[in-house]
Amino acid sequence: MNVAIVRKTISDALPLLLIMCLAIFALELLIVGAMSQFAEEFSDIILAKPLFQRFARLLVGADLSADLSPTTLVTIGYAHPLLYAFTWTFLLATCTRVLAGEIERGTADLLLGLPLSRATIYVSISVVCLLAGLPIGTTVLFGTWVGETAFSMWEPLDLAGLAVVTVNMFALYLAIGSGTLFAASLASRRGPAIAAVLAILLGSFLLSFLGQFWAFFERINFLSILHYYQPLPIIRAEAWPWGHLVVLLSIAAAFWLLGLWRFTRRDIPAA
Amino acid sequence: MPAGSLYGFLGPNGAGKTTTLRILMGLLRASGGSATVLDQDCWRDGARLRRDVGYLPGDIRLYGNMTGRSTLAFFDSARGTQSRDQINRLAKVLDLDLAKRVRDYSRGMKQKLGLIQALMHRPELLILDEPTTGLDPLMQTTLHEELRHAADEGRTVLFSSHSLGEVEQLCNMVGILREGLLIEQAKIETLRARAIRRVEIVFTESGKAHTLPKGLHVLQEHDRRLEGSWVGPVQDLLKWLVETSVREVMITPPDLEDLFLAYYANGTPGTAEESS
Repeated sequence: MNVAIVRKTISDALPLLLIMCLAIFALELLIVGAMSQFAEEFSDIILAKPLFQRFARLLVGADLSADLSPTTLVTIGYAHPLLYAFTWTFLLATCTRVLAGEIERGTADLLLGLPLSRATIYVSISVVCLLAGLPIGTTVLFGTWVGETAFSMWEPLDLAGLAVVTVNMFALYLAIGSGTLFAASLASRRGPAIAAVLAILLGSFLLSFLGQFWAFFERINFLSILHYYQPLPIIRAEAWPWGHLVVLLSIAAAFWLLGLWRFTRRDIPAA
Repeated sequence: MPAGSLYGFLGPNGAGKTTTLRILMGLLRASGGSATVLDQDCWRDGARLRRDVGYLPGDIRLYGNMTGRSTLAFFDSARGTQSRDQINRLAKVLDLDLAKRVRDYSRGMKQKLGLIQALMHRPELLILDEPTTGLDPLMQTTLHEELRHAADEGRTVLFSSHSLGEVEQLCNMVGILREGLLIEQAKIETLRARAIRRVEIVFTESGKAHTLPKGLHVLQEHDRRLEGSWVGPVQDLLKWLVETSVREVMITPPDLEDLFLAYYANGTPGTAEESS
């Protein structure tokens, strides 16, 4: 690992990371606030409609209306499309910035002209990109805690259970991040790398969505990466989702290694 | 390339100069054969090898949001060297304001910054892809002095250029690439001996020669005036002239540009006369 590259990658990623963390904090705060104020309306009006019920199930991984508690309601904030949008925006921007982005801008010539192995460069970059998931996860939990402190709920939140959800979320982040690093190590421009990963993520989302309506898609839902992140079952089971964690971390490790393998062997075309 | 040489790498567009330099830097993998620099394989030992190499890419791109100084500090730190004194000296020599953001630099200023990052750690080998691009004539001269100084210290400079005059003026060795093949590699004096001299001779009334020496090619002949080109040692021409009764003689210095252009066009200098 090269300290100078780590420092530069952090300084490049920091502004967007701060913006995304602020946005995520605000989102979690709002969701806890909304649930504390409108839990009844949410349960009676929104979850009463089958379409919304299915959509909520798609997000949190189980039937939300079956057992409503402040913690189960708050899990919506852990799988909200906006949370995905913020996290994925950061991931796609950061994980493609150096590998494909530097080649596209032409700055890779100087970076790779340094007396460093490509493996060192790859490790230095990916450490920052992947560990940035820690502040994101912490912000989700912190936003929930601040929300609970600011808005009174009818019973305390199970923060320990939500912390386990956050760990699962971090594993999902690692899997997507490593996949993005792999795509970036294949590409010479950021656009195609981002488009490929985004297509897979949206495809996963669509597969999970269709799985709510058709049995066939439900059967193949294991192909969707979002299948391995289900906040509500974790809270209800009060157990670690070991199976899902193993799958996500295996995907992360496989893509990370594939990206490393590819990046150390590829040609760097002139910009 | 012998150590301490100033090696000019010439060739027409698309000949493969930049590709060769990128292979030497480990940015591209050779599709066949191998490349060795400082006794190390360019691909396998790239990281270790680049410790002793300074590289300037042909089309320099830098981080726009950084200042010149922070850019150089980043490369210095990533390299694990401490080149602050050299950075300051080179910035002064090349007259570059390092406090400005790179995005506010002109093309020439970016080129200077690229040159400083290539030179600052005093590498054993400098690989420069068209280093004088974007530099004004004064700065080109300053850079030439820096490169001569580096060569005097025993460091080696390999640079590609489009300017034949620049190579002729600066280099002591030249390699000419054409369609991916190194068609010539020689000391500049050797090439100079092969270069063409323009010759103009006015014979006396009785002195018109019937047999011309080998190496003299007539381009135009009118009355007693002969215009042509000479390829070969100038002594042979002078010897012949002494034996011939001439009234006026004009011989130009050897023109390497014509020779280079002949290589570009035909791949052989023997046909230089035709191309000129």
